[in-house]
Amino acid sequence: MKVAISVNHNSLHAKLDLHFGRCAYFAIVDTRTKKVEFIENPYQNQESGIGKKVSQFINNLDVSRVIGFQFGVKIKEEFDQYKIQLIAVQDADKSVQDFVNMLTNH
Amino acid sequence: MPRPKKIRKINNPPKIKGFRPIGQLSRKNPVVINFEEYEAIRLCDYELMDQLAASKTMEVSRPTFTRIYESARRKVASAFVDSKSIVFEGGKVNFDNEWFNCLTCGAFFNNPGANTSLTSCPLCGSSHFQNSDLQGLSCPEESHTQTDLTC
Ligand SMILES: [Zn+2]
Repeated sequence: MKVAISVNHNSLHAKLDLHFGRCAYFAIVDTRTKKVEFIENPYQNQESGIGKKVSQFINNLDVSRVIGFQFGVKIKEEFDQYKIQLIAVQDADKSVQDFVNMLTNH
Repeated sequence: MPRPKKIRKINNPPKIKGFRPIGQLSRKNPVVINFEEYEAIRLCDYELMDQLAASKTMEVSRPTFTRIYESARRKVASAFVDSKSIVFEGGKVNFDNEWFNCLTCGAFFNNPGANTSLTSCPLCGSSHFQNSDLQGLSCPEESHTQTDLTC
């Protein structure tokens, strides 16, 4: 299963971006192989309609869960229609590596 | 102990707490519309379903649906005509898409594919999680799994 994490730069030390749709990168974790791929967010500087664009983009990456600091009502509705599960972790200290460990330790 | 009210399904809870009349301070008692009544109006008058389809969506019998819908419309009419506020309130509802809170790692998560019930936290795998939306609303006790939400 693929999990997308909204992060501020492209390394395993990267932390969650506080604004899901405007993050610099998405860390795409494959929970089976434990491989992590960083994909630049093409919509980070977009003026409006960001929720729709970003959710569509993530859906096309075949992701079934996303991790972010928090999610607004609008973007939640967008993800709902793709049946992508949202995980909100209000902890600015956790890194991509921490999340990979948590996701693959069970 | 009174028999618990049967749980009804609701897809989209109201996004706001209610409505207030414009141009007049509303000092009268507000009308309280519960989520079932809100959902009945949403399905019939917003989604434009007929009553049979709406009753199936809410998983109640057709006569029960009619009773909920009638009650909802009378309340809305009363608010309009008597310039009362409308307050949305609980009732025994089961959100299809609600938030849960993991008691082990602290993550919040939802269940968009609500047909299957959650058994563990999607982040850490812990089975200790509770519903977070309904706390204090309709469940007197902590719920640990989705099926417990019926209280
Ligand atoms: Zn957890």
